[in-house]
Amino acid sequence: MNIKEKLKSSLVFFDGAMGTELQKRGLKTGELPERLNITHPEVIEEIHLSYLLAGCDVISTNTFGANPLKFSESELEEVISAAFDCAEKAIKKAGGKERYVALDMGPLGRLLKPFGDLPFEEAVEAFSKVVKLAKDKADLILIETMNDAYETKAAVLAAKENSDLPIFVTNVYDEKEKLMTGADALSMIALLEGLSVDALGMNCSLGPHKMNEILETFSKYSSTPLMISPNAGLPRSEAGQVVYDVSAEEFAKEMVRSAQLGARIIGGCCGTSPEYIKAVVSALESTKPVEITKKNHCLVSSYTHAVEFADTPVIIGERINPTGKKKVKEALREGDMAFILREGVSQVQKGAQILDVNCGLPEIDEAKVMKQVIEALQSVTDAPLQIDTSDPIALENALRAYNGKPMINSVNGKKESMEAVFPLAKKYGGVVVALTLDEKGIPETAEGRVEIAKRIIKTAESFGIDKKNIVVDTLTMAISADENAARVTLDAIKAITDMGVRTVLGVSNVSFGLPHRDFVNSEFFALALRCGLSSAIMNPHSELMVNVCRKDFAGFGVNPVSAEELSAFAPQIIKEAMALNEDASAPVINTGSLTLKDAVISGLTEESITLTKTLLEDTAPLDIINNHIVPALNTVGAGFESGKIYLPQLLMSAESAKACADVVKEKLSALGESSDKKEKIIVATVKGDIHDIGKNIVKILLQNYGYKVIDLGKDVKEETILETAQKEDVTLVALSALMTTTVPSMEKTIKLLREKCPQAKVAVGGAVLSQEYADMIGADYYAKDAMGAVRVAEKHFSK
Amino acid sequence: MTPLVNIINLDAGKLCVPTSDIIRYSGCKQTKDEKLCALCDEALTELKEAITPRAVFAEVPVKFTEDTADFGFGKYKSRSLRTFLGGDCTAYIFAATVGVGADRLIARYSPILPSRAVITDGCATAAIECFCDYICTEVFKTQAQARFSPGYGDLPLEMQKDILSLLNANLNIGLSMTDSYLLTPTKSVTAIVKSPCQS
Repeated sequence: MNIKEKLKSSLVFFDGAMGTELQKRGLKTGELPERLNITHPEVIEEIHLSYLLAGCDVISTNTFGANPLKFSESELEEVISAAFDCAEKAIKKAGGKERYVALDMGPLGRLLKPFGDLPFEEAVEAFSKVVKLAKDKADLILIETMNDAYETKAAVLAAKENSDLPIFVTNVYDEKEKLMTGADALSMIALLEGLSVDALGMNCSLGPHKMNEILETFSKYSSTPLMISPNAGLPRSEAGQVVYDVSAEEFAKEMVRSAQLGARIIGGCCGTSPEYIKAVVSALESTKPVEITKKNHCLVSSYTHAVEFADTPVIIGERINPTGKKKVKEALREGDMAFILREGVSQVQKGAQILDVNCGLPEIDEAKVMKQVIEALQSVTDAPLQIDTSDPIALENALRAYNGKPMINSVNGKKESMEAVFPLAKKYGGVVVALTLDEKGIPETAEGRVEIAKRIIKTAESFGIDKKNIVVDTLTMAISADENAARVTLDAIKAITDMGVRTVLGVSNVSFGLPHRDFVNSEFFALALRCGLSSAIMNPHSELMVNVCRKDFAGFGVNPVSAEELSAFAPQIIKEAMALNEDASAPVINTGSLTLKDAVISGLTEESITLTKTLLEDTAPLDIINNHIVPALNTVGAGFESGKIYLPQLLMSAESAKACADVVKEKLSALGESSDKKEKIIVATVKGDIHDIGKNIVKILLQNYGYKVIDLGKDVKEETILETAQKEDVTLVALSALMTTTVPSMEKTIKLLREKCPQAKVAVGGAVLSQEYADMIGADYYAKDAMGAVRVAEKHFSK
Repeated sequence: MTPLVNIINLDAGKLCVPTSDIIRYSGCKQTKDEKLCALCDEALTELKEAITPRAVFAEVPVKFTEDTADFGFGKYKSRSLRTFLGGDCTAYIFAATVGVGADRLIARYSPILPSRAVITDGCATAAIECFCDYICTEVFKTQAQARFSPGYGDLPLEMQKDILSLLNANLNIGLSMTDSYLLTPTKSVTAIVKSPCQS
């Protein structure tokens, strides 16, 4: 019987700690205890045997830290092969019931990008090497002691892509019930069930009692078998020895409770010994496991938390989409990530719980840009993302890179669409938005749309995707074109809701062609929520819409909608919208006697914007920049240089100036003009350095002074800088480094530029640099701070 | 024998971070400017919600042969360390971090509101320093600033790698290092403290 079969009908017992046992035998675990597989195989074998004799079903190989980041390729092969030899010999000796060997994989020991330096795909590659070496010998793969969601995902993908073995995953939770990098249990359940692992749960760090508390959350939400391997309580030192405060008997008692709470796979971590496992096995041997019930929670997640489609409507921010948005289009085309990130963060601030991400522009490489945008967004916001694309390659790139269980927007009733989207959704996990249209178009009746939804759900199930992971969009159409449109959409929402399936609508289409769209949208939205709508793709900056969600809404189905009310909605709302007066627009900010220059100097952004708008009524746009904003910047810049103004104040002014410049630019672009200088500057933090705060400061100041800044980000390879300098014909490259250890890569970049792109001059800056250091590595300019960088640019371009 | 390591988890709310430190680490001269102080307070409150101060330490004997210190897990030549420790002694080795939450918060503000990013960065630096002071005074019962880190004076930065490995810092507190010896999460410290009770 394979392990998955066994799991269906009985509890499965794992072994206990390996490290603790090695220490007991006086072996120095040191840095790489996996070497003992080769140097002391008899000891490893004996430890396995002691656990087998204690009654466990599964032993884990001594390969926790066996990975290519710690071992050379040849030694890795040897270590893993020896580990399985030890396990197999022990099983042979033990005899008795059927036993299994788990390939044990622990963390790689490095933090992944963006906050560490290990790229996600390199992590997948590292785990893949281990899986390939072990897949023919193992009965299952145990991914354990993982303290980061992204690394867990990398390990699971490696296991899935290189073997057909069952995958068990356990993470380490702290007292606050979170992983070290912030993920809570619910988000891990969402991620791991999305990746279709065979068992999930927790190990290490906590004792059995606290772990059982967290187990309750797992039992409530997981439809996957649960695994638990606690420590033997907390360690303390006694006469130079490490002892743990939970005895074998107490441990077994708690494990009985774990089994009652739904744990199906039970083992031990630090501090547990064969004695503990024996106590657990004898206490639970004849116990029938608690039945695993299928849960119906619809969850999407990020690397910190999950969002559930449940009792309150979910707001999905729609703003990162080039369709009809000139600025987003420009930003995507020019790779202006900062603009996209601002759109993302500001939507979350306004109440968006999920962000839709659409990068579909014919002139850009969507597959590449989508991945970049997803990676950039998840480095600044922990809101789950909705990947919005019709390009399967862009979808797969984004699904791989995404750190969590995303939403996928979208699939439709066309065979081609379902065959492209569902295999990816099954592999990577995700909640899929299903549009009720097919080869024949959009049905005009609610019944027609419901039929398509049913077909999509059925097809999804044939791909192994549960209907809880489908959210149906019954398609909002403009009521100005067809007064019956709203009714069809909402009738379909009601029917789908009655089927126990979640729904979503892109609400704002309803008001197309009407005045007071916000008002019409919000009235329609309120009605849709009463029909059971679970979520809306909408503009979170619309206060009216957010209020429908947050204030006026008291729960689904509380106030059901009658057929008459539905029919009356469109004619009524059109009439009301037509009759509405032009209301006052944005709230007025009283600027009193404040001048624009003073507002910018004081860093009062709102006031600066208002004053700029007022000035634009009777002043030429370029005059505002030259006569108001630039003098303000000069005053602040001089103040900073003389030490009267500090960095945060300088930046607040810079932010205000930038906001004003954006207003002016908008006006100029409406007039078909531009205020930007033609001079381009590349800014980048060099390879090996992951600090970018200084670089970002330089960037905003250079932009203030009208330079076109090409921001390559942090940890940038020499070649990337060279290629960009050549392609963009750039003559000034500004490099930043914070640590002495990364200055050599600055030097390398300079050398490479000298050799291959001699017209590019290099300015350097950063905490560790000085004029002397800059001269030593051959830089053309040294900037001691952000204003220094502006002065360098002025000097460079005045030549 | 591998020394016993101890883990410290501190509630971020218990860190008393002086505003003057935040102002200093944000690149400002000391000021009582109300607007700036209010911003620092606001940023600190937000930061405290996002961080998870964790540390791991071990106590080890240190033996000197001339300027080379032998910690048991490695030998390092450093005259300045010898001056700091004053010769053979018992020392605490610790690694501390406020967690990746600080890096995330700084990254969130960096492209959007650089001024806030700078102040948040200042808060995070002040917070990790404050946490280290807490460890020195409350746990090691010695003076707040009495610590010495790899990279100080002539103590090789390479020692940092051995400290992380000795303390199993990645598993114990989620702290690791890049190829260029940057600690990740970035608001982290490794250091040596002379144990106040010398046997």
